[in-house]
Amino acid sequence: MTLPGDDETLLAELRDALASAGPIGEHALAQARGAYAWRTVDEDLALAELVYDSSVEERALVRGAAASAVRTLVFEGEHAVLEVEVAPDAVSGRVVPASRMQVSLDTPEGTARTTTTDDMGGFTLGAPPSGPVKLRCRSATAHVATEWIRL
Amino acid sequence: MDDTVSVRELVGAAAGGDQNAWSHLVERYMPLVRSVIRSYGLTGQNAEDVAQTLWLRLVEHLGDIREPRALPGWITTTTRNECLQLLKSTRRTVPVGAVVEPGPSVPAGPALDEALLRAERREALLQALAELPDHQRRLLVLLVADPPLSYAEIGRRLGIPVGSIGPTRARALQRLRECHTVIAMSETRREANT
Repeated sequence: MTLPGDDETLLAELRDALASAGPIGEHALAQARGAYAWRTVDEDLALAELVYDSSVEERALVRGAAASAVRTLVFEGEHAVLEVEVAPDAVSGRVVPASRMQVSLDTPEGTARTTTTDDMGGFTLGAPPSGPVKLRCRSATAHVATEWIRL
Repeated sequence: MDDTVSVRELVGAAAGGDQNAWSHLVERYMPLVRSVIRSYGLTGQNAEDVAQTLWLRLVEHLGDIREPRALPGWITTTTRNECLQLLKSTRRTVPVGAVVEPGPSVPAGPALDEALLRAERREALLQALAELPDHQRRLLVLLVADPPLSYAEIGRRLGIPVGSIGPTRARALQRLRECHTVIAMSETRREANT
């Protein structure tokens, strides 16, 4: 893949490439610049790693197969494992090992919802928002936060 | 900020807390991100959600990007994965039994291969564009603006003499070819290593 040596041809190709990006509004740029405000929020925390995503597994197994209604995600943190189920009407999950923790769902604008886990480590957080979120579980001794993910 | 500052320096500065460096990275790579997203036929709120996820992830990973050469590849791959994920979750909410017609952006067979190649070619070009020094990159962007701008207007917007546009344009295009070659070579190496 090489670029045209002729300047006019190269400019035409560049015009086409930039047009493919569509108009980029100030709102989109401001939002992207604003993402930087999150830089230090979890600076000292090793983020929980996404170790399982049912939708990725499904995609790998059968291309184009009917997807199931519930997406399952597993995040492995330093102090706990976070299992999350995303249904169209609710985000629910479980902290393993089970313990009393405060659970919150962050959106780019801030913390949107909070709840606490029950005796089994379970929690429910309402319908999934459309944009990126970060799940966070906290107790006096533990803190687990996921990377940004669209549910 | 120095006009000739490299992507490597921007990544380092942004990882160290420089908001201005981050804003520059956004300006340079936004066209690439949007081009990838649109190649999946995503627009409106969906496109915004994917883009915002990408930028938030990048903020989180700035410290781990030890080799800034890998940045454009990381951005492209992460954006693609998010688009696929979004398309999949959209399908998930379609009632069972509903027939989903593929949109005009989803051709099949040889047409699909050709569309993919065209998209990859555009993405490689936008990756190269992002690496140009600001004055060269901004000039090229104005030179291909739609509707077209006169040299007088471009000179006024950039605060440069009209007489310098021709020579800068030639140097910028040459630099674009060089950046493109380097990116293509590192892509080939990366693929050979995996």
